Amino acid sequence: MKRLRSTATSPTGRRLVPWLGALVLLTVWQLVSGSGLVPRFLLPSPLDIVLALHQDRALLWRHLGTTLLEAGLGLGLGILVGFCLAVVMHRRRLIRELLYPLLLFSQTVPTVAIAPLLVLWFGYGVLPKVVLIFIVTFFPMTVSLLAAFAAVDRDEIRLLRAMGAGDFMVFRLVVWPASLGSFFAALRVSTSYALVGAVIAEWLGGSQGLGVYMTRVRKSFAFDRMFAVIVLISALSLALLALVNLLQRWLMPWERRTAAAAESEDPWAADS
Amino acid sequence: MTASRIDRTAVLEVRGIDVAFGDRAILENVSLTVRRGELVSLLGLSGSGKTTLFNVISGLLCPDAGSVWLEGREITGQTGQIAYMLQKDLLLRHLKIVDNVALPLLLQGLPRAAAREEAARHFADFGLAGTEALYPAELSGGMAQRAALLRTWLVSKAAMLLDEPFSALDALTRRQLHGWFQKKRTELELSTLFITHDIDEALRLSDRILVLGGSPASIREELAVRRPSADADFTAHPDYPDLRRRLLEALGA
Repeated sequence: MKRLRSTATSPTGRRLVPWLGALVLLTVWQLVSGSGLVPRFLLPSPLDIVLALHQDRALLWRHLGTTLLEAGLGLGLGILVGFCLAVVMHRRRLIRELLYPLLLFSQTVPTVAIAPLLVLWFGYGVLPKVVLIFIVTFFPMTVSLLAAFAAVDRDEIRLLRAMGAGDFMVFRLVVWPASLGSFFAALRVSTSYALVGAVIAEWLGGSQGLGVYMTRVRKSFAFDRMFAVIVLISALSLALLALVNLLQRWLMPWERRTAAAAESEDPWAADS
Repeated sequence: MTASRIDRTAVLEVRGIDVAFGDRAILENVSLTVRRGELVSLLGLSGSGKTTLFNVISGLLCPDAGSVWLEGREITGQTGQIAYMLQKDLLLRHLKIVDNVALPLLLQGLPRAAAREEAARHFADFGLAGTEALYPAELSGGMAQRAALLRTWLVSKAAMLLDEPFSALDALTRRQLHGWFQKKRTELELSTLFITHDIDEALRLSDRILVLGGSPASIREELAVRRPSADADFTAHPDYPDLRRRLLEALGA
């Protein structure tokens, strides 16, 4: 007990702690699956899953490409429209009051319920997937940007105006940088929505994509491959989030230094 | 409005300003002059219209009557001519100090590199050497106010509007900045209109003190202050109790 505590407080030891839980879980899983308590085909072991991933890598790679393309297109469109909508709604009160209720209402419609409709309208290609992803991603973007725009310090805007800045410069120099944090928070939400949205849309029909692959292996009761594709989607989700975080660190270099400066002044921040 | 009497040394002139919001008159016939190198304090209770007057002078608000003149040019309702500084430093947290200070130059149309270079030239003068590449959060309160002051000065070197610029600082830093500012303003011949509701600060820093009061507000009292010297403790001056009493009376306290 004492030894564990001392590794946990050393810097490297502390970084290992989060992995420890995962390691224990995987080991138990492997043992249970190997012991025969649960039939192997119902609960494949972690090693079986890795094997399945390896065997199907070429096929998975192709499906992955399609899913990523759909998610990327839908998310890109969602960000673009979400941003523009937020700017227009921020600047024109009438438009804001007109659209806000509609926007909220649009989010009460369950994604899974409109997906079949989109397939009927737009066919089995990429389009219905992109439309679905767009519908689920633009909303978090618009709503958080609207809130962020409204929260910008009025005094900063007034001062910039007094210095002679026009609307565009005020937006570029004050409003947008101050909203970047919210933008990235929304982007993280939208990114996971985009991936899940793509897979759900693919379940309902299509010839390519991880959702299609999932439907096929489910029909053949290939549990190891089911698990393999789930693992792949999770890993993809994590990788995309890491990418967003990286982008944020790159585009908001002041964030870490501001946080560090605040921490050095806060006597409670010094962790034992 | 034509100039009835031209004051050659006047840098900033405010003539007969009326402002009303709806039916409520805020300012009535407010006139004042800041001459070259002079610091004029505007003393008034909260809500006495000081900030409204600053908004008019900086061009954010168009007055219902009256005009504002900077070095003989009418600037009524024009922004970008003269800037103000508040007790909040209002440095943009995502810009390095040098870019924050260069902001007015950038807005005046200077290319980024040139604006940065021009801003950096004054850093040592304002006691900011070495802070160019820091972010605002990394500065102390006194330094942040000096950076904000430099930025305000770069908008228009002719005159500045300072709205309680030192009141958010701790007492010691504030005293230090008072001394520093007094030296700086003699050195750079700063012409300053200074808002405060602190009588002692007004007496310590000003050449003249105007009391704004009433509803609608107008200038109720004007006092000339003969300061012994920048460093001396003004509270020890023989005029001090008398001036202080007159100001308190004018404020209606």
